[in-house]
Amino acid sequence: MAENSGIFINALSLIVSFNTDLMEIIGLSLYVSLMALFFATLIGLPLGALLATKKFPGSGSLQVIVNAFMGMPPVVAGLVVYMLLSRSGPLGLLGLLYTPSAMIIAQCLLIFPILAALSRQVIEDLNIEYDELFRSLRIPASTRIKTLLWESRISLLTVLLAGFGRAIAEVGAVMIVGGNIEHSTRTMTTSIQMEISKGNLELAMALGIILLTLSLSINILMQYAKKRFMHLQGELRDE
Amino acid sequence: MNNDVALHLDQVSFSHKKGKALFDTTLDIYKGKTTVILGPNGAGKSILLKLCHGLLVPENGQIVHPSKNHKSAMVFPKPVFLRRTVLENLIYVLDTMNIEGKTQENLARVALAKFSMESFTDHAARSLSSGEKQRLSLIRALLLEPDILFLDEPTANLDPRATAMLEDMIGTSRTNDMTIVMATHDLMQAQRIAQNIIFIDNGKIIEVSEASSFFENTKTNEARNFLSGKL
Repeated sequence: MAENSGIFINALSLIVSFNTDLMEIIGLSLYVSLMALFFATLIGLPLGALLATKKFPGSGSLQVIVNAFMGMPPVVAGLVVYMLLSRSGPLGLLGLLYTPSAMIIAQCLLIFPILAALSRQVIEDLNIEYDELFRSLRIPASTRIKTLLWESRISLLTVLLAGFGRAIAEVGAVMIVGGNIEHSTRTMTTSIQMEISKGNLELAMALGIILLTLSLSINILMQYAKKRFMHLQGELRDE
Repeated sequence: MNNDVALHLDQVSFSHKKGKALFDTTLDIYKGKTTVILGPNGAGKSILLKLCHGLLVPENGQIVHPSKNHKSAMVFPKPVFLRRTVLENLIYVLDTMNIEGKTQENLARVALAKFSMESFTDHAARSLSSGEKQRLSLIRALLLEPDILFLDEPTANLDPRATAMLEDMIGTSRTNDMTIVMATHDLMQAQRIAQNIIFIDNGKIIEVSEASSFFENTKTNEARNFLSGKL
């Protein structure tokens, strides 16, 4: 018990002292996950909006595939990206394997189906609610999608948060395509795994605390933003 | 076609999942008149309105607007608003008409003031009471400057005071050339505002006549039964 307390205190001192290695790892983790979220948003939200508002041949099958990919195991995503980027793979010439770019691609592959599937559900529900209004006002399809995205922005922000949570906590895929190389592709999760295997629990604990704090802070912020928005829009007037 | 006709339905029919909802309907809606579609619940009033407004496509027949650049607007029994303020909801509609930004806000504010709703300008539209929502819905429809205004049981969920306010709004907002078509099952309301009556039951047009003639000299048994509360 006393040993664990010591580890915890040492972990806190590593955080408070802004340990250079620790900061580098946190910085890279945030960079990779935020970039992956950015690209996944560019693909996932329009795809979600398209599936929510348009019925076209194959849209049902596409929806099933997107939903199925939500649960894709990270190691499978890692394997797919590894095979694409490895020297003998179709994109091997780009030389991206074991770089942060490869990790961004792997995380993007992992989270864009989550963004597409969840945003589809959010936008579809709103589209049903507003359908008669849009048709009555003869709103063009592009304006309809823009309006739906804007109207559901808070719910979509929660969707993005879910995607970011999945990306930042992910270990299998980035380990495969990043290789956990010091000062290059070492993220919080790969670092935690390695430090535990080395018995260096202080650094692992420090990274764990930061991951949890990060997740908690974002969720608190989101909750606050959501409640404030709902109050402004009269959704919580009876509370 | 007669110049007084705002809308002509030619052999229009419509079916939904439950079956035939409107049988071969041919009728004229006259310009500048307030026509009330009267009938019991489930008679086909809303479907007829939605077909006329273009929200539904006829299964057979055609709906002819003699004016090429006609504009129509519709008020629903339970209006839906964007998750925005009252002002922003009106601006959204004006935006669809390609009206310039500053003019949009001015027009919206003037419309709210005209109908004594300026105190709600910055309120969340969805937090308004049913009566206020319906008044806002009517303002939104009027901003579109429609030639034909369709009102689908706009007072169905309102108390008598809110109903009176809305009817008052309809009266004051009417321009000479605006055609109003309203569905209701409220006989008193129909008597108050209708110039022409279309009586519908089970998807069939039973009687079309001037309001005074309909109430004083009802021609069909179905309409008589409806007026006496038996239908």
